[in-house]
Amino acid sequence: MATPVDLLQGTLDVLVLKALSWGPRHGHGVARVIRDSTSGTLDVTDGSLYVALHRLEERGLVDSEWGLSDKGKRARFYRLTTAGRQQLKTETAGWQRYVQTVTRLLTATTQPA
Amino acid sequence: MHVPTWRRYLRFWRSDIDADLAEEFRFHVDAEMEYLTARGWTPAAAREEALRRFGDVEQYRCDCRSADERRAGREHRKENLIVLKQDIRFALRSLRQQPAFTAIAVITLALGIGANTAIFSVINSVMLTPLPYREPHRLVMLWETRPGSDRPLVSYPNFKDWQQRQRGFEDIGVYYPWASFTMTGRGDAERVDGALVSGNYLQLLGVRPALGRLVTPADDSPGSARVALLDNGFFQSRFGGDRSVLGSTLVLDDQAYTVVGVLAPDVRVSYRAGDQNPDVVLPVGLFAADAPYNRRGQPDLFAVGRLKPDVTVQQAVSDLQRVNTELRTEYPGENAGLGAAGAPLMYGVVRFIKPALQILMAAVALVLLIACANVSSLVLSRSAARQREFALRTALGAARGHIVRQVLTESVVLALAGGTLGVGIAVAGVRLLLTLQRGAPRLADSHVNTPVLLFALGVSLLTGLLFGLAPALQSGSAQLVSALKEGGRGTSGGASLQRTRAALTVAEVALAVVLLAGSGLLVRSFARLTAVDPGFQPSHVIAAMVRLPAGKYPSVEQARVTLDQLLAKVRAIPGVQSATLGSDLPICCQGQSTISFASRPEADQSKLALLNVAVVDPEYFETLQIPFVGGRHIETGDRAGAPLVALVSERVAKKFFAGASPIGERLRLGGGGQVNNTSSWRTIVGVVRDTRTDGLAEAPRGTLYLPRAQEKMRGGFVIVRSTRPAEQMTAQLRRALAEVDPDVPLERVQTMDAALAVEVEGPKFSMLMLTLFAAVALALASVGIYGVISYNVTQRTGEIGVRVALGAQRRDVAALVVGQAMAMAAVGVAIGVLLALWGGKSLSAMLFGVGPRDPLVLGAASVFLLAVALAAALAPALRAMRIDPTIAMRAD
Repeated sequence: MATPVDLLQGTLDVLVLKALSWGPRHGHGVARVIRDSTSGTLDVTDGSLYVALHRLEERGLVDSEWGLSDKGKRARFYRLTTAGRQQLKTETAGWQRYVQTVTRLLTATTQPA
Repeated sequence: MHVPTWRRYLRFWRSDIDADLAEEFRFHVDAEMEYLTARGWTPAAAREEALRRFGDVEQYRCDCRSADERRAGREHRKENLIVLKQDIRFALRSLRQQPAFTAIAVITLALGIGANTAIFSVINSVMLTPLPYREPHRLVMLWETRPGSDRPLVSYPNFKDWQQRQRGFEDIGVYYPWASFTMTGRGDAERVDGALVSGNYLQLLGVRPALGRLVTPADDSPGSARVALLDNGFFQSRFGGDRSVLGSTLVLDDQAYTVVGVLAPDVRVSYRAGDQNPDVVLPVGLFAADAPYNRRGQPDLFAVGRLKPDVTVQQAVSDLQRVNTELRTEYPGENAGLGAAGAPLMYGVVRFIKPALQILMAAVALVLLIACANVSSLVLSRSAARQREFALRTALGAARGHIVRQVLTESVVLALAGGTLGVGIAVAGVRLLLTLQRGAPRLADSHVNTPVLLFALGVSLLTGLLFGLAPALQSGSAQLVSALKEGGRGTSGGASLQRTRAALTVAEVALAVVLLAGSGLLVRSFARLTAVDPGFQPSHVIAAMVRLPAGKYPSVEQARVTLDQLLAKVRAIPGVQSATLGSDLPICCQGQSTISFASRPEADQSKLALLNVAVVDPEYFETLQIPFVGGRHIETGDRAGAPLVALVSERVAKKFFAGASPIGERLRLGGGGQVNNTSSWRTIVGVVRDTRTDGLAEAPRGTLYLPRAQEKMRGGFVIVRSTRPAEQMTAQLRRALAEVDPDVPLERVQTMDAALAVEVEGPKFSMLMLTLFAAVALALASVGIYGVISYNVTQRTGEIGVRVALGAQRRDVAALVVGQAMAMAAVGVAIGVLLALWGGKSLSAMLFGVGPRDPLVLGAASVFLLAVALAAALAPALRAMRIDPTIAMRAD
């Protein structure tokens, strides 16, 4: 994760995987989950979510198939594969370690020895 | 830009990817609009906001599409692999179910592929592998051309002048591969083979020493310190690889040489056909003052030039011609009619074996074609039986393409199995070739290596596609309804299938006729060649070379006495009828010299006499039984000091004296009668019959016989006619020589029969190989005929039953079956004869005494094939005759 772009891409992938962890969703559903749960803090275009979905599918982390939306329209649904679930677990753990480390440093009240 | 293969397939569903993306994006924007309007946005504002939130549609579409394409490509490949695996598994299962069919097909293919692989491995090593020298494409073999001479040699003095005056080569070097020395001072005297090289020769080739240094130009003059180079094989075998031999002294022909180096193991001093590496390499310059290297008119050396960059062989040779113009003027006698010629070094290696290899490659290609036709026919008959299976699978929804692919896969699997077995056959075949033909250039290097294996793989795949094509197309065109219907009535494969099989059989017969005719021509040619009268009686004669070293026998007189003693001892051996000594045997290839006749004008260069010259004892003609024609024999009175005499063979009289008696004519060795000729005049006193001194296939150029008593000779061939077996005589001969001088070895012991056999070894090899391939072709073709006819009888059992029931005689039934076989064979033979007539020319270079369109051979081949066809049809015909109409008609 050398460059900010990579960081963003990697982060986006984890968010998409997380959004799918509660069950299959179409792209719009994924976008809504991310938008709602972050209250718009992250400035992510919807289109970039689709790129993330298609790349995750290429890597075999998600699967897709066509189905009907709750409004009865043809929509492409994505779901996590086993590899995707595993990947989410790994990335979540890594992310938490990263955040804890950074947080510990940023919130330190005494100067480290 | 490079487009991967899978992308080309992708075009078929690229539209799908695009449509899916469009639909997905559209759904998203619609859903977002709905979401926004539900929260109070106006439809127009909601649409604008939804699009804003989506971002750059084109960019994202592009990114998504490429991700999708990569995934689709990967999946496509995976799918293909799975299908291929399935096809192969299915093919293996279906081949296992019919082991007899599979075995016959695999063996047939293995024969074809094996023969091709074996011959290719020879061609690969002989003709395709570059010579083991630095930048071999720039090396050129060079030789003098002289009226009446066809040996690719150059004389030492002319070579020196070429070297100094030419401008087209970086350098020119020479070598002489057939020197031989007696090595003493290291245990028993032994004979070692030597090569003489000019000082620059080895550097010019670009070869390296393993130890010490090479021979250099500084070693290369009569006054230089005597140095020798050891061949690596000799270094290992004779000196056990002991490095201390470097700098030590080697005594060769009683001269001391310092060993200065050992050649690297892979170095070949001579590029020429069949030349073994010599044991020792010496600078030729040491001998430049002695005969024959001091004779300008006597070419004896092989020359090799290294072209300057960007100079062609033609340019370099025409530059040598310029030098020759000068040399002809400066030495008008010895260089009369001097010319120069050159060819790439590889030409020198392959020129004798190339036609034979080309013919053999063509022959094995024909064998492979026949094998293909045969297996194709087998697969067809099998697919006839499977017509129902295919129809059923089509009915169950298998795509026509899938069935075609399935049949092709089976063919390729068969071919690969055949190829694997074929490589085994090739390994054995190459070993057999090596034992049959030891002398051929670089043949010993032949083995099955990576290029050969790739060749076998390529041929196998190609073969599989070739013989699989007809059956695959046939199976693909299976008519569903008719196949199921016919299938209900038995296993008829349909008329078109039988026609295809018949056509394949006709092709097999035609190709077999071509091969048979080719081998017939070689057999006939070989018979003619061996029937040639060599001009003497070879049976019961053995010959062996004895050479007395100049160091131990400084005076020729001493040597003469010793040789006379030896002959006296040999004549005393029980069973010896006659024994004699000669410098040359009455076979190829004798020493040569230009001759000038006193009565003939020297200016007539085009008729300059180049004759074989042999120095012989009076008994030479009696021992070898060369008939005497006229004049008188060499007599004991023709000794040193007496008037010099000579005998000539008939050819000389015919060629130079228009058939008039040459007796009394005077001649001398060497070209012109000018300043440089110091040899004395001799008088022709007798004429003997010619012997085939220029190869059995060639008219002899004529031989001049000089009495040994009047020549300086320290050795030659002891020739013995006896009633005892050759081995026994050889042992006695050795004993006699040991009594005279135990330090002199007996060399090149051979019976004259064997010596003659060696001369026909090449043609014999080609004949045997072609006959072998023709036999394989014949066997395959007969199996083909049998298969088709036998199948036909099975198929027509019902019809034959009806015929018999209606009163047809057994004889008629047999005639029907045999007639069908003979019709196929006759068409095949007719086509084959036409092909043989058309292609016969390519053999003409290898034929002796028989034309490439010899009617006898073509007729015999045709009759033979018809007979084979008849034989192949007999068993099915007998079966047809035994058909019981009641059973046959009930079965139908």
